[in-house]
Amino acid sequence: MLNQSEFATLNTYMVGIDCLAQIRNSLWRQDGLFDESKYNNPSTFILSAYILPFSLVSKKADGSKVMPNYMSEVPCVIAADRILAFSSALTFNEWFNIFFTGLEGMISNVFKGEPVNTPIYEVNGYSDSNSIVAKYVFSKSIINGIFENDYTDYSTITSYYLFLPYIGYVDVDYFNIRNGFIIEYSLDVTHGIMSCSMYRSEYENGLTSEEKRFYSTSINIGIPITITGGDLSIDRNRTLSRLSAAANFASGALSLIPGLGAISNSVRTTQTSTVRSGGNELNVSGSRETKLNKKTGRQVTTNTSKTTSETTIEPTYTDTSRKSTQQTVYRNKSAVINTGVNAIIDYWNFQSGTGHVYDIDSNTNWDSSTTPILYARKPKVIESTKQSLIEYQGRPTNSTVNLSVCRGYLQVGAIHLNLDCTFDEITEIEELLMGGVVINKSKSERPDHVLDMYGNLSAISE
Amino acid sequence: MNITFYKNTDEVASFPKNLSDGHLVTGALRSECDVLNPIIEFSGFNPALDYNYAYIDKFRRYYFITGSNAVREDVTEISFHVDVLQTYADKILQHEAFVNRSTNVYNPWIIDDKIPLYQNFEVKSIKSNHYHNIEFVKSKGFTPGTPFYEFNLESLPIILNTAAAIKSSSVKSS
Repeated sequence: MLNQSEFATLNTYMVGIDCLAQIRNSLWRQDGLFDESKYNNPSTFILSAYILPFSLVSKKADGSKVMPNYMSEVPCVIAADRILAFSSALTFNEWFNIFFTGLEGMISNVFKGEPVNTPIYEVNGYSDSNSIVAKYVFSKSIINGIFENDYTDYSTITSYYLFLPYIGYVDVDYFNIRNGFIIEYSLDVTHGIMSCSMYRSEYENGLTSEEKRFYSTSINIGIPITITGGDLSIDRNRTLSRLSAAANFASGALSLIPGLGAISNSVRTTQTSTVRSGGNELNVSGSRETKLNKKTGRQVTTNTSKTTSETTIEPTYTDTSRKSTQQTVYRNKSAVINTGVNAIIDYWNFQSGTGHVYDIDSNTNWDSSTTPILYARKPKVIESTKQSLIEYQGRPTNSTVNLSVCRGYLQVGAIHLNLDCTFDEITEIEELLMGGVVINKSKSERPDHVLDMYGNLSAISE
Repeated sequence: MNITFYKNTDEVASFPKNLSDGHLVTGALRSECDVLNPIIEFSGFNPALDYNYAYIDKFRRYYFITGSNAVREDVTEISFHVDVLQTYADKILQHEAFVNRSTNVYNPWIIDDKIPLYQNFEVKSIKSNHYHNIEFVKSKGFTPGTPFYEFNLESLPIILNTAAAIKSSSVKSS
């Protein structure tokens, strides 16, 4: 049971991943839930809203849930992978009244989670930024699984690309990934801007002063919010202008396939439930439900069964234009239209009309939508052919070698023979060695030796 | 002069050769003979019928049998050519050389244009082996011990509906 005293002003609240739309619906409700003398638009106090490609909540072995300490100067709601951040202009009472007034004892299955200590860094020079940093580590040991450890690993032969949640596919170079790398999402909670960096560290154990960043981008991806009306605080203006600017940038954002799907789920849910039914799909008072005629695509006001589920908008990545068309239809036919929803639809249409969606790998599924994945596309080498060719024609050496370690095929580039034999014999020996000879020694007598990139020779033990 | 004949099955340009079952022939050199390309007549014995390789101890060299001529009845003329690799095998293998290609000493990072790469590709993929490490970067002091509350997914619609209903009724009553 929750009671008012358990809520502190700076608390963080977490709800399920699909509850985000419900929360937003509650903000847009015209049922007097807000103190309208102060806030005439629910979006007034939204500072930023964004989706993270990572979750802040983890489970202990006993199943209890924990979340890292989150220092915040703004109260916020975390919904699994997503965060809604609210401006500090919202007092505790207002914040509580939005969601929890009178709900003490009504809430079931509410878990109070314990915070756990996490690394916290204070940074000088930043006046108003608070960031959450999440790192995905690709260690050297796990990366070796996709390498052949020979010249076929070079980027001229094998293509490497990295799937970054909410960014898309980026090309990476072999030399930047071969010793492992780290992907770091840094979320500025205050301003709702997320950046992604990919870097490698000269030391496998983590961040050092010799880290080298070689990829960085900004992800201005948020849940669209209206820019009309309301109290225009400085912070809000700044964030909203960034989000608006992000709409132009977001033409590339359609390559954010999981982000797109994730955003579109919440947007679609919000749009369809709000626009078509005047509320959510679970009979919020004052709502009206309509039915969709699937053959004609027209809305029919029959107050019959729910329509949200019937539309069944699958999270297909490439069919975005069809989805936005449906939602446009809904908007025209619904009696519950507000600027917030219109802004959402406009934003959505803009994105779907101008962006490019990458072809998604068939192996990618929802589970991978928030996990970076490294792909290596390499030409096939028939191993049996390769082995027989090695026996008959060897492999490139291009180094000075003592012939006492060699076996099998040998082709010499240059040699200074010091033998007590005739001139003709020396000439013939040189010609034979440079044309290619076979040294009849067994593998046990003369094991393989490998030269590394720096020309150092080392024997390979069996 | 002792000449040992062998049946060699190793490659011509290979060394050291595996030689076994030698057949020793003893005789005397009766005329001049090129040491590197000797031509020797054998009477009553044609080594070319059963052997292709020989060692002449007087010359301290190994030889390929390169030709055979029947001179007259029971006399065969055999041509030899020195096998320089076998003769100097141990000394050659003590040398250092700049090697272009080798079966067992190689640099895998040098592109090998003799290995065919096929048109069809394969794709390998891996995920991060660390889920994530969360850190917080803060510009000011922090407030520790922030609790959080998780709502069960099924509960939240009830919560929101109830909140709306309660608020609506409180507004009406006021």
